[in-house]
Amino acid sequence: MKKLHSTIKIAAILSSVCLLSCAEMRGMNVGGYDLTPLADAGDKLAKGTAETPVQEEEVIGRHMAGTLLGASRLSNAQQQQRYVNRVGRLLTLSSSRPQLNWHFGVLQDNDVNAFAAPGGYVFVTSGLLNMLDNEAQLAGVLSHEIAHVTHKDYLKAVRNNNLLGAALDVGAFVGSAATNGQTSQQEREFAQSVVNASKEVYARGLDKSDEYAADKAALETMTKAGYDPYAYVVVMQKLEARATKDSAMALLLQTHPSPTDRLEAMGASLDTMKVPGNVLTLDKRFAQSVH
Amino acid sequence: MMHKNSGRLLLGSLLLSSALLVMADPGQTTVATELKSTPDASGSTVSQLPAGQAVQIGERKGAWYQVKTSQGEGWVRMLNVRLQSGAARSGDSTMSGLAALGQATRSNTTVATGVRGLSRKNLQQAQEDPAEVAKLNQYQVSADEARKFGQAGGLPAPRN
Repeated sequence: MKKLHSTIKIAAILSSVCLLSCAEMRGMNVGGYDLTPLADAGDKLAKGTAETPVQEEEVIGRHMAGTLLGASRLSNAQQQQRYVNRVGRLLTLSSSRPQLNWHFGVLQDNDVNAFAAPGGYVFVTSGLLNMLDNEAQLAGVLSHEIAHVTHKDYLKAVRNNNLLGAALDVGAFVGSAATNGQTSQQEREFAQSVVNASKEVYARGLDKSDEYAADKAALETMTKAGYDPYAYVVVMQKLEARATKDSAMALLLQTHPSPTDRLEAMGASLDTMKVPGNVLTLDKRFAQSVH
Repeated sequence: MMHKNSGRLLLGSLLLSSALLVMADPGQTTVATELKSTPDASGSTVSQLPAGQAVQIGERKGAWYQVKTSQGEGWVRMLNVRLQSGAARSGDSTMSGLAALGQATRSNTTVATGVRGLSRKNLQQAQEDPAEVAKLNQYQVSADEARKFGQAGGLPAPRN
């Protein structure tokens, strides 16, 4: 265990040095460890634009979802859970990442909000679900969160938080060298750094530009899937009407542009979209499954 | 006999009036906008509504709300209308929105790990709950099942 800790320290020190001269570390060997992966990690850090492999994205997402579920909890309404998964999974088939291991969940909370986590996790609160009238409105909400996953917004946000990016790459390096029980200790440390970053990211929210982009993508995805995109406009108008003096709206309003500003942007998006005449809202199926 | 019939009549009118209430959500125009005879930009103009015009919103067709106003009845662009604060629209022709009218209360439930709830403060103090994440698997839906679900609802076959 001591050896592992010193390895992490060496890795951390070297990776900061590496920010200046990564190329020189390629092919180097220190204490039996090949430093080439570390040089690559340092390169990624310096550029800050590295692609995270899907497997790593899923692990980060699982810890992030676990953090959110630590603050909330899943609803016991099994029919609603199943229904939200069906609508959500259907929408992902019209998204740019249909192959991800998608999970959807209803959070038991009167707060009005929805969240996502990397790797394909999407959550909607029962408070928001109960405000909706039809499947197309739900499709709008879920498509917005699906867009945060496909755009990797939460992934970028946790990576940019507290040098988690460094922990990730150093973790990959140490993980490749470690044996037996050492891996789980390393994984625990990695998990804790993800959880710490997740707490901040969920509390602070994403960039406003990410939210506008997710609204635009939501309108496009739901329309592609056959849902009436103006149903999502109704959702935003409901949020706008509820925005004042409602404590259940507090976090959503703290972490998103105002519904009024989002409506204006959505209007501009819809002006440039071609909406087929046969789009659906599916009121009856929603009522049977949710209420 | 008479009594029974009038009871039915009363029940019927009660149902009707509650349906009408649901169908007429108060709102107002956010900008000056045309009141149209049909939900279509090419429809004839009933009147010019000023910004801030009070409207009673009925059904929605595409980008248009059917409204009643002091300037007449017709259709306006939904994006030129704001729902009245505090009155969540129950529209799109179901009564389910009524549930939203009840004032929400926070659901902070005390559990072993502390106070739960989706406030900023609670999120900052959250502890990971892997067991809850594992529960998600039981509800997961395959791509095939999702396709069948879409088809059953009359939605087109997904493409991406």
